[in-house]
Amino acid sequence: MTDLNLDHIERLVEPGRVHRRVYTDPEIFDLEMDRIFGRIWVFVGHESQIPRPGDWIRGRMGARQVIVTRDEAGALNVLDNRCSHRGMRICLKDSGHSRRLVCPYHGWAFNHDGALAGVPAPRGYTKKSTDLTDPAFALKSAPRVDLYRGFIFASMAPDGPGLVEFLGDIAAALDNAVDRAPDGEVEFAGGVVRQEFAGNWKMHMENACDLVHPGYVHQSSVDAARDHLRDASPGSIPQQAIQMFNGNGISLDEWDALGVYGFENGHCYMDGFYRGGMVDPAMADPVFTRYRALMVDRYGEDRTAEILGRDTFNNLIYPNISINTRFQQFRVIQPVAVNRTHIYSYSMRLKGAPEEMFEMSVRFVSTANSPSSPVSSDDFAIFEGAQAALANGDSEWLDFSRRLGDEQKTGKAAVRDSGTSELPMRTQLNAWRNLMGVP
Amino acid sequence: MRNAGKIDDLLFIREIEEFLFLEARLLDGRDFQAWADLFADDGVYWVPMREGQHDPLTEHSIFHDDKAMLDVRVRRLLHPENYAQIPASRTRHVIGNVVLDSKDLLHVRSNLVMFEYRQDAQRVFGADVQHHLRRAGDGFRIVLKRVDLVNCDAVHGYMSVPF
Repeated sequence: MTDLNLDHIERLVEPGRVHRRVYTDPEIFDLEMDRIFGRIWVFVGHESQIPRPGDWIRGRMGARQVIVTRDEAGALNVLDNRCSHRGMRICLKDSGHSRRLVCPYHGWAFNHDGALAGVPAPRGYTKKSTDLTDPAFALKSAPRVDLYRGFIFASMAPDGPGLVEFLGDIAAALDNAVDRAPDGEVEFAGGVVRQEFAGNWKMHMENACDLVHPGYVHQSSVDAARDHLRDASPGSIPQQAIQMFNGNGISLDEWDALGVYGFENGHCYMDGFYRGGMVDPAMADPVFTRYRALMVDRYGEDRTAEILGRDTFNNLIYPNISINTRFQQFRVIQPVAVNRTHIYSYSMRLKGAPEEMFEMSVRFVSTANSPSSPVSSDDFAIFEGAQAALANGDSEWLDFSRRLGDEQKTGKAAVRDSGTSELPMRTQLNAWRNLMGVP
Repeated sequence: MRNAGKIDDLLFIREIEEFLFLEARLLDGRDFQAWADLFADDGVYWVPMREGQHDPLTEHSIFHDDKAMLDVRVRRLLHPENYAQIPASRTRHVIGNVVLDSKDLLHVRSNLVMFEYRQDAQRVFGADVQHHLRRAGDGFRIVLKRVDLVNCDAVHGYMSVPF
């Protein structure tokens, strides 16, 4: 047993190791919902999901269930999906369009900015009983909502760093996702893929830039893809996902030749790790050639080369976003309980690009990021195994010390290390420690 | 005469049912390579993510495998270090309500219940299944197998054994 208690939460995270309670303690999970998801900027949706006034979608800020609306003035609002009358969920579907948000229980109606617009038979409320103009009867709204190039974020803290300051240099990943569209805009399309695993949300984030695990966890899909490619008829171009499965099989020396990067506030990313397939700028794929020509029309040759040359794989916005710009993938890691996590995966359609680019992205999600994925199902099996093993036992600490102290400063607020470093996990856990230590 | 035609129809449906039962037996017996071999070279295995989904190219799916991806999937299912299958799933596919949507086009419709037991837990899936078949010698090849799960748009855990 340990004498660690929640008054000294910073003691749970040391420079190279972390206490297992960080992954297993329901009280710590509740604190994360308050001190991380209840304070910092959290992604709640994309502008393309609510293009018209009156549109709304449901979203999550950690355990908090919200409605993201576009009101009559065109402004974005993030409201609790909970009626101020008796607590009923107001929106029961994932998305919709309506003049007002009406609670199904007693018909209380709200504007899209959360203000109470009316109640049935208001004569039942007199000055003596109730003041319906009291702002407490509005739907609770996030005090700060901001947009970065179409991506909607909200913060439950009335003040703090602005969104641009919070994102810092990881904004380059969102920029690159949008810049890859010839028309300079992306939209979320193709529907959302929702998956779950019985493990803590941080495991998924820590795994996303862990470059030692692929050669072990993904051995089966590496071998399957490699053997398939060996036996395939010569000249056939395999789909992206099979290329990616195969790409996971590079050696530890090759992983180490890549960089992993950590930023202030817990963001991080990794370099791209395989070449080949339709999205490889060096390939003469006819669809990619057409796409590239549209990009050159829009941005010119040099800028196009710069945009398409940004070769990264997973880009992580703390606390729970994973972006892959080359495949137009956007994933949200939704904490549900200390030992239960949902993953929402989206495809970003590049406006102005050939439709085949979007189809490639959809196929990639259906194959590599869906419940049937030969890659992520092994990750989830590992997370579930780790969660079950951490739940109890004498082994109190998890180790994250690989290449600790070897990171080099690069740029104002970033550090870099060789691929197999556990720098990305330490970057996230350091942000966790800083946020969780503030009462 | 009418009875003779009727008997021909019944024999034909029975022939198709036997093909579906064979497919189920291969899956439950984990003979995944033989299962994949039932697909034509241009065959597609598709499990949509939305009720009434029209297109696997513009909307995400749970499975969307061409013959190449089926080959990768089968090789991985048989790999000893497939952690999502340690321990392996035990499954039972139950097929019923088999009807011919089109006798000429060999479009077959059936209901499927699949029990899957793994790691102390049992999952049950129900589905509306469409097979588009092609004559190949004495038997059939699958051109399209579309599996519409009752809970297609649920939040799913990972899936290994095909439906």
